[in-house]
Amino acid sequence: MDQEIDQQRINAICKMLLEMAEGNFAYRIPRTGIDDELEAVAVLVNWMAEEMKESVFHSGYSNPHQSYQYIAESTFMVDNKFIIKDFSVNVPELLGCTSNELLELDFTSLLSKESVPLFKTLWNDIVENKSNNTIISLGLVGAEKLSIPAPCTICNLVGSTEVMITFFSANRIDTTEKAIGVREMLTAEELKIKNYLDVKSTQAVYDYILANIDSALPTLKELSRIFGTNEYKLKNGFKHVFKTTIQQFYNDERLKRAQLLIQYTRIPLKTIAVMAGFSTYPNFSRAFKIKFGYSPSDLERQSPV
Amino acid sequence: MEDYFENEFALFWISGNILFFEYKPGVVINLVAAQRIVMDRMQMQKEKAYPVLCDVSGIADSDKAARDYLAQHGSVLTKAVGIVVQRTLSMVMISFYLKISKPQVPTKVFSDRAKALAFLRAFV
Repeated sequence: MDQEIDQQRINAICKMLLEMAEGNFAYRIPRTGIDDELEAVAVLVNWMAEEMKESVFHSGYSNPHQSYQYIAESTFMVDNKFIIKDFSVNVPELLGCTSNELLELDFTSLLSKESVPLFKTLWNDIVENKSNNTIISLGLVGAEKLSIPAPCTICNLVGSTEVMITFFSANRIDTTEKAIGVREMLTAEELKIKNYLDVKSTQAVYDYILANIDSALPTLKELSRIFGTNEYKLKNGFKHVFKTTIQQFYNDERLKRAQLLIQYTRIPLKTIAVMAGFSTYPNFSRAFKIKFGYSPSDLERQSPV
Repeated sequence: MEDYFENEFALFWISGNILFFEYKPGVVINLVAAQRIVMDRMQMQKEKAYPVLCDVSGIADSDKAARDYLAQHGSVLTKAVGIVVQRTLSMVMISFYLKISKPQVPTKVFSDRAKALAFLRAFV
């Protein structure tokens, strides 16, 4: 019985992950109240969906469906006994072997176990000319025994009895980078961020300021030294990602803390102004009023204390 | 026990210059709960900052808005936080929270209450 319940819980987690893969972050796995590792996974998936929905995809989820660039066309020429007679120059590198090792080799020995019967069934049709251009997905066993799944076409040639087998996606990640399509996928906006500072280090600056909100804000020069960048990139990258300046963000955060302190403690307003990093109370009061629309003294009167 | 307070989400008291904070069993923390918790804690503290021993075993779930609020405001008027965790689930929840929220005061997770107290005494 317990096993059956656990299976249902696993099914719910799988279903949720599938929904997320498709861009749906709205679902949540029902909680069972059990305290075990499976429940912990369920909570993590739920919380991650929430984070992703609101932090990562807040501007909308889009799937470019272009993660793979089918550019490295590895081609094999094979005779009717599956013996490799020739191949394109990139093949040895892809499979992690030398040209000599490949020549005269049985092509099926390069295929993953599951792909061999599939390939052989199709082969008869090809050789008997029933079909002259077939597209199937085969697994090539590459270097380090990793399988490289790839769609390929198998077709007859006019001038010879050999058969040409061409793989599409059998390219490594580093070659994908060079593909022309990748650059086109970046929008002008994204390129702009890339030129400033990558989003991750901008987030690091943001987190640093939050973590050190009680100390004086380091100058742009100091910040750029801490994060190994230059002032221009830092300033513009921050503005671009968070839509505010570093100084403004720092002030806003300090004012928010000051607001809490005013509401829920009896610390004198003047002291709170100093705690919020302002040199005089009027400066603090002015900034506070601009941010919240009322002055600090108005707020204190509303306090339940 | 110098001071004691209780609301629908937690109980907390100050003893030996340490603030003890304990979530009630089965609570779900949403934004309203988070705001209430911070408000009540600050009012009890009367302007003084304390090291906080926080027992999170009772938390059943929370939402992002609450976690974000606590990450930003949960540490106002605290010197350090020792989080006590006994259950698997709480451990995972707290790891997630700390990874995302980047605590603003020294924060450590303990499975042993005595060790948590030893850590906090350095901040009294």
